[in-house]
Amino acid sequence: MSDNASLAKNFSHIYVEEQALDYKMTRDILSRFPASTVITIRHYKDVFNRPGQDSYIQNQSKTLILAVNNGKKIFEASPVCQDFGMGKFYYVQSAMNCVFSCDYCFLKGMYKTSNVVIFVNYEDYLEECKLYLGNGPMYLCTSFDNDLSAISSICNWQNIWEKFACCNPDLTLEIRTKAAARAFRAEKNIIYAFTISPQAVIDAYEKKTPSLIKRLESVNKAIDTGAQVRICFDPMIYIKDYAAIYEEMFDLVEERVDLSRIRDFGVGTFRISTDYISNLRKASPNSSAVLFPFCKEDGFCVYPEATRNSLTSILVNKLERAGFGSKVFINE
Amino acid sequence: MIYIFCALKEEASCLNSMLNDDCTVVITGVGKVNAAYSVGKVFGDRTRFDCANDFVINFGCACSSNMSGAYIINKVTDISTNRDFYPDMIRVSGLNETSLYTSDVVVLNPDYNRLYDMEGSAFYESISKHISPDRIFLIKCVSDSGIEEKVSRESVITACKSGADYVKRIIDLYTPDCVLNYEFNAKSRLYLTSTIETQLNELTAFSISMGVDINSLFEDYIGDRNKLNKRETMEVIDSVRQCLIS
Repeated sequence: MSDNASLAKNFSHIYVEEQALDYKMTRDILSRFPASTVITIRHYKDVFNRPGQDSYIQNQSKTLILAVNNGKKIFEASPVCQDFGMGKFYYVQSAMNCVFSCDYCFLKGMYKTSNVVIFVNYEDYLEECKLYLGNGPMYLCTSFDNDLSAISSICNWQNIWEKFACCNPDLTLEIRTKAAARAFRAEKNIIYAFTISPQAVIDAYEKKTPSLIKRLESVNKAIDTGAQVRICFDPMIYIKDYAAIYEEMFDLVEERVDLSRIRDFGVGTFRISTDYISNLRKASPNSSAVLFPFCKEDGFCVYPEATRNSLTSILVNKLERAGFGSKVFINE
Repeated sequence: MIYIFCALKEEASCLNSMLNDDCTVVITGVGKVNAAYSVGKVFGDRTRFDCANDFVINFGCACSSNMSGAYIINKVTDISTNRDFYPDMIRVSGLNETSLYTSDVVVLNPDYNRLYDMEGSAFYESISKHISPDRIFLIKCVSDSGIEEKVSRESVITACKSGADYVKRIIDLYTPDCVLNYEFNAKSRLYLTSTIETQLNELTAFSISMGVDINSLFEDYIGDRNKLNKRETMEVIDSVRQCLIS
């Protein structure tokens, strides 16, 4: 394999659909990358869906694709997604793929590329969302197949959704992230969901993501702003000495964050569709997080039941002992 | 290996000084059919797995009305089918880039700011069935303007010399992957079906990623038994799995 030092920097090349060229978001994004080479394309799938891509190497030098989504934009969420007791649970595909590089991320299994697509026709998205809202309140996850907070320095998608939610109280927004964001809105219908992992897991499997301390600082910033904050200990990842590692992490979280000001907690162990595991292992070929000998249950690769219970009970017990048992949602 | 496909021997002759034992040069002849045929001839039934470490370069001359020098290609358009192809541009940077138009016939009136050749799209389309797009490189050198001049042997050689340095840069990037051959000593003593072997491979990969010596684990559970039956094999695999994830 070639020396990584020879690889181009992330977003050294930006592919832009011909129909996306005239959008304001396209112009804004391109202005942030004056040194990048812009290549016009007919359809984002001509690049994104090419056969035989090596997502492992692409992951070390990501390319950006700007496109117009003329198809469906909002989807019903999968049953393995935690809905936190909310009905009508949907996710929106404002972007595809993530700038972070977690070994176990299901996106690496779902997509055969590490390149990132950002859709630029946000007005169309808001129109489609209005149609759904016409049928009553909805719960919308904005960061299902991307991390909008992580790309907030590139595009203003998160801000667009936040503003839209402010004007539409029937819309409850969940903005899930591993980023250490600093700007939040104190709105009852905008939930900032932080994925929290032990530093050992971050070091081993969550490459390019902020440290645990940075994430906790971000949580505190959100709390101080008066925002709705959710902490997701999900996915919990099997790692050697996991009991001690997760206990230590929780103690740190409890020490640094006023947990009484957290709206709710999600706890769950790693699981992934059996359709995705093969691609995931190709994309993260040396990672024990994905090479684990999983059990296959109902079309999903999961840890053996004993391991699942052992992992979740660590944090569930801790949360219950701290008096937050009623705020815990377990993803089984 | 590094495979370099050139349409003409004059193009290939410019690379003589930089080739090493990892390089194979293929003279395809001019045109899309010849390019695709040569790729098929060389790669035949080789799967993506067989070619996982190869680099493939299409090197040769092209025409343009106003461009000069050498380019690495970031987009190829086949003029007759109107299809576009995109090599990944992640392994090399700092080289002059442009898009390429592949024509079935000699282009006599090239559009301004466009580069034309007669093989690129067919080369890419056929090689992409074997090689990932980050390992496919097209390097084109402007040899003529397609209007008045007649392409000569000399003009091809002069043009291709200007692009030889690009090929050298790519050759320098290539280093063979080291293949991890894990010696699994206990394998011959187990009863292996394809399902059990899959489980075994999975456990082996996981143990390597965890830094655990799976050989000694299996030795512990197999003990002094010479050959295990199916039930015993599954019990041993289960025990090793439990040990690894406990």
